[in-house]
Amino acid sequence: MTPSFERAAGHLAVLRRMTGNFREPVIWLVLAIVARGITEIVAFVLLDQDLIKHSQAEAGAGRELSVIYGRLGLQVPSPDQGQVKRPDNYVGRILAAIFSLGMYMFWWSYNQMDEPNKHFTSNWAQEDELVRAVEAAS
Amino acid sequence: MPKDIANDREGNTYGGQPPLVQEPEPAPAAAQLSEHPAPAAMPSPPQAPAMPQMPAPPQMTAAGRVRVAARRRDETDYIFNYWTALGWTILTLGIYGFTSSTSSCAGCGTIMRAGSSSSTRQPPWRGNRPGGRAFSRK
Repeated sequence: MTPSFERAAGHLAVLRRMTGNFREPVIWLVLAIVARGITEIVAFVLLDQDLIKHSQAEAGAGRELSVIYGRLGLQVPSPDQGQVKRPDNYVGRILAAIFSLGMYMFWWSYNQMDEPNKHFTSNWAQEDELVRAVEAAS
Repeated sequence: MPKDIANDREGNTYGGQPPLVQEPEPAPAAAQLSEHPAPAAMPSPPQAPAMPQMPAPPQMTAAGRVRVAARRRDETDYIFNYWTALGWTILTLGIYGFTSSTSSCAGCGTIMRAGSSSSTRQPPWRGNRPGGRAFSRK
């Protein structure tokens, strides 16, 4: 099981590094006031990339957990590969925002809030399975 | 959060083992000897009264830690409510939109932190921010 633990540790290291990334809401607030619109577009692109990176590492760690528990004779379903978000079409979205005179930003904002929500709800199902497996093992 | 139970804030490690604490090495005997030993008649300095040892907190089992981490996920897993945020943005003539967009930034930080139990910081307005709500689990 050592290789699985090592691979899981690698995925967790990615997640830990992300917790130290500079994401200061006050700075973004100031930037949003100064350059309304442009700042939001930049922020949305960066947030999308963060979510992708996070979900890839998380799914990787989940897969290794599934392997480890499988070796112990317990069932923890491997995360669905489809839950890893694909990158947005940034150019298309920016063009849509420009040609709709900013109206498209409402839809983009909706996506920015909805995608993390979906991410969490899919995580919860996975976490519940993990709790059940750990309790069964103990 | 539960996916990162490898090395949590309390320093617990895999397998429910207590964290390794390096014992201070005893000083070498030569260092303990004074070059000019005090005469036997000299009174020894007063000894500080022994402090009563605080009892160590009870160690949680691995299953318990996972269960607690899963139960505390509403502290990190922030669920956006787009329509409430949009409503407040309209009511405040757009001012709320600034906090709404920056909360996406903090929300992503929350996602990243969810991968690590080493930090459970939340957006500063979490809990009283009208644009969002903590998801109440059934």
